[in-house]
Amino acid sequence: MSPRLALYGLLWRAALAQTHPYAHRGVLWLTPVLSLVAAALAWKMYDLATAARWGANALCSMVLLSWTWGFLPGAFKLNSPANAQLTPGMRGRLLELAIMVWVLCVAGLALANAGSASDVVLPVVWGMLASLGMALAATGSGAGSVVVLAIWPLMGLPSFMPDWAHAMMADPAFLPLLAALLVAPSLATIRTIFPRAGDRHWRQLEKRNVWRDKDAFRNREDGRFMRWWQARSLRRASGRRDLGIMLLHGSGPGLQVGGIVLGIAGVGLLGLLLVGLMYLGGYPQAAKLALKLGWIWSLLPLILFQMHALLLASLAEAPAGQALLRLAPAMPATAPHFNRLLASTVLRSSMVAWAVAAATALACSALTAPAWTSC
Amino acid sequence: MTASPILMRGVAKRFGSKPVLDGLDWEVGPGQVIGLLGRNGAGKSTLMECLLGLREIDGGSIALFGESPDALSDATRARIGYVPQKSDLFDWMTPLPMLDYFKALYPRWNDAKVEGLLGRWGIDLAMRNQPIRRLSGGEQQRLSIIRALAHDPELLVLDEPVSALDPAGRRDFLTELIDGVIERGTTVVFSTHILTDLERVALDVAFLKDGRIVLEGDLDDLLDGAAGHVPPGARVPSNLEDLFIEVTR
Amino acid sequence: MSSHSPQLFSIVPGSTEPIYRQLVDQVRRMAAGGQLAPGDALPSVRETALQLAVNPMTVSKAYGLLELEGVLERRRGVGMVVADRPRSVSDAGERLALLRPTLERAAREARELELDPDAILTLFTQILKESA
Repeated sequence: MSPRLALYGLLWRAALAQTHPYAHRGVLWLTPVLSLVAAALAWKMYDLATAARWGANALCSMVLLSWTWGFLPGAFKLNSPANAQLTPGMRGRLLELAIMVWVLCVAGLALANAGSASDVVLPVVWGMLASLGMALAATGSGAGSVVVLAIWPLMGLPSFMPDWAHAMMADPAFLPLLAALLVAPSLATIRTIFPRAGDRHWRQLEKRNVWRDKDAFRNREDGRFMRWWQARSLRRASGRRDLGIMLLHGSGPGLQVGGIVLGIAGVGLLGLLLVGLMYLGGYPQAAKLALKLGWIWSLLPLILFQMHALLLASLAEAPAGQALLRLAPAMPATAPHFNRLLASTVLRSSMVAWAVAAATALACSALTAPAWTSC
Repeated sequence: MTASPILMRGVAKRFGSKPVLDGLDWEVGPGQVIGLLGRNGAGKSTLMECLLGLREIDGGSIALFGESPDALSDATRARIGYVPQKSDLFDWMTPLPMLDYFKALYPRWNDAKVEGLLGRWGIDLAMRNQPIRRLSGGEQQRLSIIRALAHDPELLVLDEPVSALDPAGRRDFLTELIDGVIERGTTVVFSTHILTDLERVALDVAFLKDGRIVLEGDLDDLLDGAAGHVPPGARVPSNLEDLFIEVTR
Repeated sequence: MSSHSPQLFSIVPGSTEPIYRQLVDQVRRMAAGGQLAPGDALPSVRETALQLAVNPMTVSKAYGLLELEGVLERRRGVGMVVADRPRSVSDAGERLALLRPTLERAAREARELELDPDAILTLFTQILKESA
């Protein structure tokens, strides 16, 4: 095997290993297995051509998925300023590998699905755009996150697209053309993800980024409002000598219930506002739109709650500050009491957060329910 | 008769199957300023954590001011100050709210001392509004020390408190130790690799090796009788650095 | 009858001499040599400890030893002062004895360099003439 290919293989494995120790092995085994299963299933149910298509789709999607979530974050870590500048050729190879894999996957998807019906083409388009959007988000640019959020509703909107759009998508040349068009933006995106040292690189590293670094959510720097709110709640808890809340404050950033409740309430209100605006605007399709999107929007509070719960669950991983809190006179003296205080506070606050999330979700879905939208 | 600040008898601690502390006996009397020396990985941090009840021990007994560390009374905890090795704790908070947070947890808090130290040690107003994460390693360590000194403890346990400080910072720390801590008769236990600092302020040293305190005593006496502490034929240590290397070999 | 600031002293941590002994030797040399005149007040234990960044007990130990030897004496209200020792008592013999440690160090180095004793003595005489 040529040394270049061997190097690519090494870099791929190294990047995946940065993300998770077993990632490479998992991807290596799952990808062919799932592709074969999909192909076999399609062959059983339909014919050989469909089977080939399903197999190719499964293969390309899985590789694209591992590229976005496994390879890119790890490769970014490998491309530290020192490595990018001083290790000969490494950045170049990483760039080539990233581009090649993306182009191959997208080309595979395009060719496999060219000429299919639009309801197949639409998710493929979404997949291509999403992978680029997430890659862009990995650079820390807000544009990437916006792209990902904006194209999400695309999934639920095939019935809204006019017929000419459907016809266009069913054209066999559509997908390959789109793929070719996306090559240039993808090149630009990937070059931004792998900067070559310099001040821009350091600034990018400083911006903690959820896509790249799973600790980033725990260690994120909140905006001024959230910091002010947290400082206020800390002051109030200190004044009241509420040991449980103080303990929670000391166990990590953003664990208190105030922030998440505000977030969820905000989401709910925003949804309400949007629905109201749509009705006021007199948009004829408002009712159908609300029906289609309502369930997606209602999921948002639950997703926010899920993120908060994951944060709480990671309490055990970072107990660093709790040593000092154990030694503080006001806190419980024995380990069992201390743990009980922490556990009961976490339970109480997460139940409050869950109640708010559930209520908001139910309210959102109720407001966009057929009973309402038909009137 | 008041209880010794620290009394450890037969303390054992294992990580998995590997023993870190093995039948360790140690007593520290009131007002002693003792340096804890040992090689990297010898278990100094573990010893301090077990001492303060932050880790469970697998055998033996520990008494802090006569109380067991896993059930320290509020009064006793108010007499203890601890500077852990990691200085980036509570790094999402800004310095002043962090100090206020601890002030709410302690009965006594010397505001004048805190203000004085913040000013003298160069944690100026510009830095005071940044999260601790954004401060440099030296500033984080200085803040950590201020937090431990702020409630005028009677027992101060320091785990490599000056590893990130430049010589000026270390000198400031020693001055504060002499002026505000030793003068008040505080018991000080600290581990550091900077032996010159230890020679200045510590009157006693204890060497940790193979999970026990293999040698302890007055620093000057140990150096005088150094020939007796090394195997016959080995070079006789003439200063603390040589003594360290020979004893912990 | 002057009082001295703590910047009088300097110590070298990490050397083979314990800090208290370095202080004792320094005071002895300065008292014998005249920089510390009889009756001069020494800086307080606390001042010296803070200036040198050493434990006050170490300074206290040094002062205590010097008091026992008779080099210093404690005077109420003032602290440690240099004792009034008649110049004849600290005779040449005693002062010579103070030079011994430095000369022994020099002899050790000379032995390492494998130098001829006469050459060394010539060099030393020359240096003494230069610094006179």
